[in-house]
Amino acid sequence: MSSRRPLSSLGLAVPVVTKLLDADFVYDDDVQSLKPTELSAATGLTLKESAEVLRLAASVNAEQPVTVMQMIEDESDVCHVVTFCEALDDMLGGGIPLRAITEISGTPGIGKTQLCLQACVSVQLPDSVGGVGGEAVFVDTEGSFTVGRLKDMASHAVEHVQNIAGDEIDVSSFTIESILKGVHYFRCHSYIEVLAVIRHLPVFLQSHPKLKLFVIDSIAFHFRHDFPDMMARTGLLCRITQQLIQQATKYNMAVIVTNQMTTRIESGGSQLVAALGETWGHCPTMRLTLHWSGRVRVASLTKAPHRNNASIQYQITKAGIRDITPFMADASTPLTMDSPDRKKRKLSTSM
Amino acid sequence: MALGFGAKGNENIIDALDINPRIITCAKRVGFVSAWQFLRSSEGELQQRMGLSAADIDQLLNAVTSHLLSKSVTAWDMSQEQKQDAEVTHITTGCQELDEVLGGGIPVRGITEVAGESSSGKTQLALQLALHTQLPSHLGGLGKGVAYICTESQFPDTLVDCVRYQLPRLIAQRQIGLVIIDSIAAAFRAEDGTEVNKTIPLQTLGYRLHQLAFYHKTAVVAINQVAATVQSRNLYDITGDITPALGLSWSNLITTRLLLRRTNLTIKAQQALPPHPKMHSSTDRKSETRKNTAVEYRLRKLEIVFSPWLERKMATFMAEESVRKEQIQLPSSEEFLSSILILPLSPFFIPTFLLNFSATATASRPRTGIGIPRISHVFHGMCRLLYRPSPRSSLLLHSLNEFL
Repeated sequence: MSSRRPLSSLGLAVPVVTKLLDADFVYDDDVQSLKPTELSAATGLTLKESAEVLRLAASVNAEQPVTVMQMIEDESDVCHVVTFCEALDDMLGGGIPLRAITEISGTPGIGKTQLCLQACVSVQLPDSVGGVGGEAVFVDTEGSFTVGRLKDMASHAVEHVQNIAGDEIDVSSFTIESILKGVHYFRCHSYIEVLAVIRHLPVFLQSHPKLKLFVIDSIAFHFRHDFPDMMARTGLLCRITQQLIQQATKYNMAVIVTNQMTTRIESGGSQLVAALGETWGHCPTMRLTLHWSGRVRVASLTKAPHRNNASIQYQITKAGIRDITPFMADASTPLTMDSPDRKKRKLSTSM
Repeated sequence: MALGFGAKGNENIIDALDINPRIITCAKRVGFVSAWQFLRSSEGELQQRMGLSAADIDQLLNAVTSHLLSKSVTAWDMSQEQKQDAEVTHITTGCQELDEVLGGGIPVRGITEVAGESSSGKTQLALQLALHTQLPSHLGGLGKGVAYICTESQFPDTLVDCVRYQLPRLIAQRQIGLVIIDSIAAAFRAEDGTEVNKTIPLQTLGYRLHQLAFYHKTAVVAINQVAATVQSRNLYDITGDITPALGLSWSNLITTRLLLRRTNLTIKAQQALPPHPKMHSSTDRKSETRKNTAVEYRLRKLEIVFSPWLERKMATFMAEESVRKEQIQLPSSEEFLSSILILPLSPFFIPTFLLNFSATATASRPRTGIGIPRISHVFHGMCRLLYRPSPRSSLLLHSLNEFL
């Protein structure tokens, strides 16, 4: 059954649409049964243009609605990137979610970049041990990316995976080298370059289909300063979000954007809030705020679609992000062909 | 091809794109020529304005992005490149302990803030760094010059203008390895502005400094003051009740934050004190016998508050006065000093000029306004060998005495 879409909504050039309308072709089913030569004769379009019209009309109808049952089945596959901090993973419902945008905000030095680096390593955990098995893109706007730190985290992850896998599972392809090769780095010096990288993402995904994580650290840096039109900024940020969420859902990818903090003056005094404004606040799917509480680092979930807001403590070690009190892995747990959930639990248990 | 420094995407790039000329014509016809115009609009808007199809716009935008972006590298490629040089180059502080916790010295990457209470050693550290920058790299320096910007209760705009215009010109003419702003707090605190007025120039300043640091591989050190922490606002886990000045907007701009402190602890040592500095000729000084005296040094601490590649550690050091003549095979002190370029900021602002620090120059004290009188103070400061020297740093700081 056709959806009867108007031809003007198919993304054709305006002169082409005008010619179609002049020849009384309004909806896609008006042209469906025609051949390119017939359409050209009727409208005065070139053969090439006609072929394009017919192609678009046909592809639109190919998109079928999906049943919720199908969606539930799809989602039972691994859909989180673990952080190696079990408390944080639990709070997030398994880890950083795929098909969603997670915002990580916090004061300087609290560990936003460290968490992003950790995710770049964790996303590559092999699926044989319950990981996502994907690659990562790191968009650096502040210059805080260090290969040395990534290497440290990678080395600990390799050791951890080898311990879990034991002799039964082959994880020999998961090495420091393979992890570093799986992190693609872009350095952006202006908001123009950030916009360009985001626009480039679909093309990059074509050549790198294993991409499962896209990190922008930070989205705030270039957009808070020197931006020509602050009024347009919010609209632009929202459009960026739409593009990212589109790619994230289509390619089953996780998106992390880090944000800075700013002070908002209120009647009682001033409050520390994430930067980029209120409207931006609606854009990410999930919002995590990192802050100091006394001498301990705390991660607070302030927005999540189906989790409760909560706070947990974490620390940053040489190995990366970890729990404050490490759990010991249960050595007696047998490795069977178990569901992703069970594999995940073993995975995020810190050493 | 990545955008150069200062580029805002407003330049004409349409002519440089390798796409169907028909598309270029359509774009130019409606005045769409710059990257900003192409990337700020949605694809639907572009189709409408230019009268092109989705496929055409797709081709156009792909060409725009490949024009703007350098090819991505993997972290592995980066690690292989670094086999030759360290990931982050450093300038030695001249003190072994400090160098150790800092991973080699202050980093030539991003903006490094040195904050502290008065007399905690900030200017001394900066001067020490200024001199060490000129050492060749095998001795922990960069073999390059230094731009030392003194501010003292100047207007923020003057500092911003200096960094925007004077400094890049200077860097282009000379090999500058280190830019020091002493102090950034002084420039922004004197003015009675509202928070908003300060934020924009501060951000502009930070932004420009980052660009300079990246494109010219220059280290940037910004000296900052501290204030008492407003109740329960310990945002950076700093022990004690102090917080660096200029607030969150500045903190968001810096890469590394170091905090200097005085402690109540002192240590005593036996020290052979130098002859009186007011001696006229060096021969007189050499003949004077040295007396051994007990001297007390105040211990100070350097704390790494945050840095992307460092653990949060503390180091203890002391500032001492000492005179040690050591053999070095380096350019003469005169040449050394002449490559510290001091940019004075004053209401009678004079465009960048170089001060040649020979003995005669300092004696004549060029009239340049409020900023300059600090220079003699600066030089007296440089006479003291400040920290426990590392074996590498056999700098002839003490012989500056002979030039003043």
